[in-house]
Amino acid sequence: MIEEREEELSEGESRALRSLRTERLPAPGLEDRVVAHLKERGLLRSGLGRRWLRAAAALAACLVLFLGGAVVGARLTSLPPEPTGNRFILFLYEGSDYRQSAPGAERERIAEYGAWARSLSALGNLVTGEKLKEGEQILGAMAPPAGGGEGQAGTRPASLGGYFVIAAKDAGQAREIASTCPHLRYGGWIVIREIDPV
Amino acid sequence: MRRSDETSFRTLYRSHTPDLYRFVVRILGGGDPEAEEAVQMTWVVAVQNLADFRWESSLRTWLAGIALNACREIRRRRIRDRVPFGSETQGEAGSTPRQDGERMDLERALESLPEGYREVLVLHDVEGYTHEEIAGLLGIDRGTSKSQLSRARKALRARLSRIPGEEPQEARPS
Repeated sequence: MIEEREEELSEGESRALRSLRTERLPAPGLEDRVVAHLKERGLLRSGLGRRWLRAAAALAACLVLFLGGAVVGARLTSLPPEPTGNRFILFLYEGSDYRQSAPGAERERIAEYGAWARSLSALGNLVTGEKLKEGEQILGAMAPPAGGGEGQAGTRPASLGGYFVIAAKDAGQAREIASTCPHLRYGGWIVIREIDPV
Repeated sequence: MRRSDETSFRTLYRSHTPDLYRFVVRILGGGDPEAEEAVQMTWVVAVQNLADFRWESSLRTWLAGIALNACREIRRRRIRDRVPFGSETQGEAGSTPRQDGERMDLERALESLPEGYREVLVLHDVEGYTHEEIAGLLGIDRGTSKSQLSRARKALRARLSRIPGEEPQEARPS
């Protein structure tokens, strides 16, 4: 079978076409119209609403954790839809590049992480998530050598700020999910590890 | 509770609608009202089927698939209502005045492509989808996606070489 040769684009053509990606924005009123339309059709109250209420409960738990900075241990495993697939843990590190929220703006940051967690939960991909208490303690015998291990060599060791456990089909999907986490936008980084089910 | 639902939805909406809107504008090659309608249709279907979404593709790709179907429905209605393709508001109300003639030509050339060509070209060369993803979105095989893209690029070049600024639009295939 002969496959047709792909007509290649020149660099200029490619650039011109890609430039079309940044052209248009919807009218500001569209969001409200879409929301109104969904409400009119009962789509934000009924089926989706019940599921998202539970997701919101999960979010509330997350918010408590993020707000208080305490390990409360709110478990989200009973939320429908039941998460299926392999389990991955996303470690959220705050390295030297991580931009902490401005004083007084913590709630906004929390809400953003919470909304992300909630959207995962609504899709059946969130198992649990917790913020770790500040001031990590590393036992001497288990500490990585200076500048080595999983930290950033030669810089202040990254601090593990929290984690999410997610359900994903495979590592690729876990990466896809992690790539949407707001933590990355603030210069944080995420280590993904698959949980061994043994 | 309803407020919570709305907040959740608005979060999703705000993170995906700019890409979605731009995409349907390119696919429809028409005016803003139709693009907005396509976005609305997309979200309705997406919310109805959110429970079925399992990250087999990215949420962006999943929404693009729904948006493509919405655009096709709108195009079918256009034909049924005998509205000239893309003629309603193209380059008029709601669009920013363009100073870049080349880009305007490119947009016009893109809009004048047959639907199948335009879909593949927008998906691949504008939006950056892979042939695998396009095959899944359009229900075709990877080889067809590649050959369609090749032909679409040739057709686009041919149109660009024929458009001397304000030349009237050629008749488009229905």
